[in-house]
Amino acid sequence: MTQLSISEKDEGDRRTLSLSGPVNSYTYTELQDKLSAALDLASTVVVDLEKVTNLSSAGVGVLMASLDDAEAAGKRLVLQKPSEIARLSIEATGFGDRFTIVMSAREL
Amino acid sequence: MSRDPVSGPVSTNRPETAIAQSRRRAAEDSTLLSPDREGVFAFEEFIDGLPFLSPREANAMKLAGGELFDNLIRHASPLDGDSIRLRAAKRGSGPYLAFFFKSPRFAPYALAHAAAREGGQDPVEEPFFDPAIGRWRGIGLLMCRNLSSGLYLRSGARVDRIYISFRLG
Repeated sequence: MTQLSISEKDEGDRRTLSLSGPVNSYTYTELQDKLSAALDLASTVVVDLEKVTNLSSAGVGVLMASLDDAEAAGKRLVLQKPSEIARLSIEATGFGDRFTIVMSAREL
Repeated sequence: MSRDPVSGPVSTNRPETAIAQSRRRAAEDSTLLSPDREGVFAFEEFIDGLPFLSPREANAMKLAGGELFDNLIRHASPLDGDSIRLRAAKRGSGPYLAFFFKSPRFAPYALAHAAAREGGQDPVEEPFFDPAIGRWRGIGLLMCRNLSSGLYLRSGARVDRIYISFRLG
């Protein structure tokens, strides 16, 4: 899979971004733009990482920056059901404790 | 097969040494990558298609190797030659990736960073948010350090090589 696709779903004041494909140095800007727009509109933004096939440092950096922005604005950024590679990537940075990670929307 | 003058044919097959066994069992594959967007996606597909890696080994290889490949695209170009040869292999000690290329820029760049690190002047030693570019920096280096078991660069007259090794998983 060579393209990142991001679908968006709104439920009340919550927006869920479902990612599918690789988040790498050539696709992270799409995630950056969608996250920025989501944080402008919703009080809780969920990033579903179940179908992510790569999460490079550029992708982790976008998630970190968005988390900073969300916290500064009094909003929530939640990661949902990370794939094995997404989980490994976040753990390898040592930033895993900073994120709220849930396995399903029911935990929100 | 040789012939013993008394008892006839004698097998000269010797027990296989551990090194020979390890070589026989070795699994490896290689590919050529262009130093650009297509190369990044080709790298990911290549790693995904390696049958001799466990899922965790493949994930670690894709993450740390991908960071390294990104660095080569950014800091080694222009290359002497149009592509980077990549070999992935798994031996008894674990899997590794080897990048083969020739660049007049990369070794001096890497050496300058190594010297700065030793002198405590490397600004990208630990991750930090760089407001000038609106991005976190240093995360890739940290990922490489935490996911790999060894990393070295050997620059030569005809070819530069980077080896990155991983633990069995």
